[in-house]
Amino acid sequence: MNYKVILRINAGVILAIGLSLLVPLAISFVYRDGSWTSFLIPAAAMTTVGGLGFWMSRSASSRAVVHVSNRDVLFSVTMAWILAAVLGGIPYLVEGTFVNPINSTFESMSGFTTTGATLLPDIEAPSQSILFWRSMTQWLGGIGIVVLFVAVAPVLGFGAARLLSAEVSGIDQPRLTPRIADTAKALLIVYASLTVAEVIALLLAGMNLYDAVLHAFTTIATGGFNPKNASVGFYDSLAIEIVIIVFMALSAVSFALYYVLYTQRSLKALLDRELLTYLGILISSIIFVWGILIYEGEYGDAWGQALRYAAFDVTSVLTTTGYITADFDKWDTGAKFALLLLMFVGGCAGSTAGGIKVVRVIIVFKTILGNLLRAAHPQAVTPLKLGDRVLPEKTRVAVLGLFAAWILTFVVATFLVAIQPDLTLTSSISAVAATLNVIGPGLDQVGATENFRAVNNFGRSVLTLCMLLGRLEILTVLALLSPSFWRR
Amino acid sequence: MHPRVIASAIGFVVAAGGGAMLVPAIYSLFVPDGTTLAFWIPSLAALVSGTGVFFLARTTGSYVSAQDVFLIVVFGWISIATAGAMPFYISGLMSPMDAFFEAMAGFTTTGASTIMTPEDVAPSLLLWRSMCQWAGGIGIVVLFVAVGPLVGLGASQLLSAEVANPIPERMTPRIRDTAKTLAIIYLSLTLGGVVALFLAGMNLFDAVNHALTTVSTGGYSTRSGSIEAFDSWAIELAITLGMLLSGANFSIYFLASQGRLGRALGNPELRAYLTIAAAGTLIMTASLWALDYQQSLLLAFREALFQSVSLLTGTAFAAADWNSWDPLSQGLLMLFMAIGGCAGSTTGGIKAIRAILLVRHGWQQIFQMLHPQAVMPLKLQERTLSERLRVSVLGFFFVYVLTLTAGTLLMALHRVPIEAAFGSVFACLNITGTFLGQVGDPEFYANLPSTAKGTLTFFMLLGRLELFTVLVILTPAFWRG
Repeated sequence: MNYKVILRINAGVILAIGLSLLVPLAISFVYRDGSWTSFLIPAAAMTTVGGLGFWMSRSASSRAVVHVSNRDVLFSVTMAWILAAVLGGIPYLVEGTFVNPINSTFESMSGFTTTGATLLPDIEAPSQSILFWRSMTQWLGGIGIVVLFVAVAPVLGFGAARLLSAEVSGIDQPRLTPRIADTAKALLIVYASLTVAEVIALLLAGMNLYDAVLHAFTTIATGGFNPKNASVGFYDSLAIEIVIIVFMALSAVSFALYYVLYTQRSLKALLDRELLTYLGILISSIIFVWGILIYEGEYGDAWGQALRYAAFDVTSVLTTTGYITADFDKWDTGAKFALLLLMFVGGCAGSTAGGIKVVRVIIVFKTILGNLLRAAHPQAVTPLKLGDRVLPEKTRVAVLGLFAAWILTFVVATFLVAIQPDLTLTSSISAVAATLNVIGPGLDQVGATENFRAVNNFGRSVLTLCMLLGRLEILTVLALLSPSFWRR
Repeated sequence: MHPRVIASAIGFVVAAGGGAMLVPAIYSLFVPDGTTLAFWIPSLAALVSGTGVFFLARTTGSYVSAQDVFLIVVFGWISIATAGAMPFYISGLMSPMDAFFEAMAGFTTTGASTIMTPEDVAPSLLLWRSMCQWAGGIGIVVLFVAVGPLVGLGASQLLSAEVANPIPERMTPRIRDTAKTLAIIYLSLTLGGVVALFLAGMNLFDAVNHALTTVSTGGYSTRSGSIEAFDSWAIELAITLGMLLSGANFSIYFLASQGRLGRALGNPELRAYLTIAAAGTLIMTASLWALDYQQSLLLAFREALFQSVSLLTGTAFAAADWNSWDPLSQGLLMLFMAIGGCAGSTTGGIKAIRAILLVRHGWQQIFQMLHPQAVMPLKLQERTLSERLRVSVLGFFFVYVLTLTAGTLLMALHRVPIEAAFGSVFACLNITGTFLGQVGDPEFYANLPSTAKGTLTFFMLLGRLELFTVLVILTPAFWRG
């Protein structure tokens, strides 16, 4: 392994978090909420340590050709998220929001992985700057994920982005570092513009500036941290809900697609197979859940109201944001279970959304159909097609493997969480589903109006790990645990 | 597709069902429990109509294609369940839907039941119920050991090298011979079970019933307390051994009967299966000893052994109230239900062989992350599986997961609470018939609306015939060309 490169990347992460802490520090001064020490001390420490490490490893980037192996990247990425989670939780500890480091790490991991699961019993209690930092961690985690999976991963051959059609991902001729940097810069511009656009839209819909910024942070990151206990339900405004639905839906679209729109200015990319399927799933799920709500008589004759709630909650769950307007925990079994299923689908590859990703779901379904066809006609040849492109068998096997790993992780983690006797099975299943797919709220004891305090410390640690696994698409993290990783 | 072949085969199945029904019919003459007519009428009707169709549709010498086999199997199971449901209905014990549910749970060896207290039911009906499982068991063994590998059906195709489609005429006598040997093995296991249980202290009626449902890993019992009602070490050991033997691939016994014992024991799946059972028993013993039965290590071992084998083989006999066990043991038991026994046995679940290959595949995938250029074939002993079989194993797993979720959604729409909705589909798809909580109780099934019962019978059939056999019939491609 190339330790210099690893040191440099990790030091860079520490430095970046230290610098980011200056933003809530400024907010704290503006609002005079007395939390400035909680940011100043960690910011100073992290900037010093990070800067020092960065300077010590400067030779790693000065060489003309840097040899970076898959191993280095996998290790650095996993470490980066763990570091971010641990360090990003320090302001909560200094402030006294949480006393136990397990809790602060949970909250911070939930931020940087854009999950949105919370341990705060009363969300409106902490100071403005702490809440600002909480939402900002999601925004930072979101851009991190987009850069990782759109700019870095395709070059190294992992993640789902390599499945995207060539015109979307543009990964025909991978050239290393300069391309990554350019792509990352363009992605940052797209990401920031979307955020600004949502802030403006929310202001027009009647939110105040502070709330609008916080909501924009966590919508674009499909995170779901919210400064209000009642989440978006607090505002009870159709205009705000529509704006948020639109931006949640936009954020779960591959950023590679925006990148292509931005660099090539051609609308051809919009015909992408994954995008069309994603929109199809979104719209049909809304109609389906709406139908169940009417069938189960949740809102009586108020069909319009049922549609409004169904549209918001389905979009929120499918894009793995985790905002709520109606408490879906109170819905009947059918509607609840439909939402639990949608949690696993998630958004498009290369977006900030979690879950298994639409493109993989497409491939799994195509494989199943191919298998059925071959059971009937054993001699049939069934190549895997995505749009008009034939994917290699190796890709299919990789996707199927990840899908299996996802389900196995889900099952094992559920066992571990279910060991706690006073947790209902629905709670433990949905807690794992909600963290592994980076959504946020689950059902029952960890439902939308509750928080994760019902889970004990062991369970919280397992769920923290689930967030990391889900965010980095499992194999990235599991690879570190295999002996072959550490062998020369 | 050959409609005449299909019709004659189904006729044969129905006639065989009618013939089997003669056993409880004659039994009811000796034990006058008022069910005589309930057996004689459907038995003769099935015999006459089945034989009629068999002879009318019979053709001389033709190919049997994979499509024919799928149709024969699916409709064979549905027809025999319909015929087998008649005695339950005519005797006035159950509504038509309940009777079909009971018979399907029998012929698929699931063991789910709507009978709350078997002690109150006429003995000849109980005997028939057990016989349904026994007959379903032999059907599955013949299907998956003798026929399946030839048309690429079921998990046993992973273990055999030859897939021929259509099945050439010269293969038919071979299939018949294999089937005959398998039937003899199955019968000997059953007789052995009867003798062992009788010696262990059961009365003859209980011994016969339990032997029938042990060798088929079905799990119907004549007592509402299942095996716990007997509270006997000897009986539990005899049944454990019986379940363990029935959970192995019957082709192993077939090979052994031909004097190829060495090759039979080298089967990698058998080893994995026994290892899983042993490891599960040890972990559960420790866990039960530490958490539930603080007093007795021996008691913990006894219950752990019986319950792990019972659920791994999908039999679902109960010798202890595992509903009150600690979560770790319960979790392991759930996992066992999903894994199941070996391919080519009467057990349910995804089968040990698929579980091995899934784990091995996952491991390779992680390795591939680090070494993107590595080429890693999937091996079983010294044989390399084709990439196509790899994809078929993975595909099976996904269909399994999707079926499970779709089923849960269907049950949830009947307003069944979410745990029970999942549990009942899980129980039926894995052919165990039981799950944690209320699903283990016949009262749960009895109180379901009849559409929900119908849904569950479909999932029993899906699970029993290893998903693809049934699903393929639902695809348009099946009916084309």
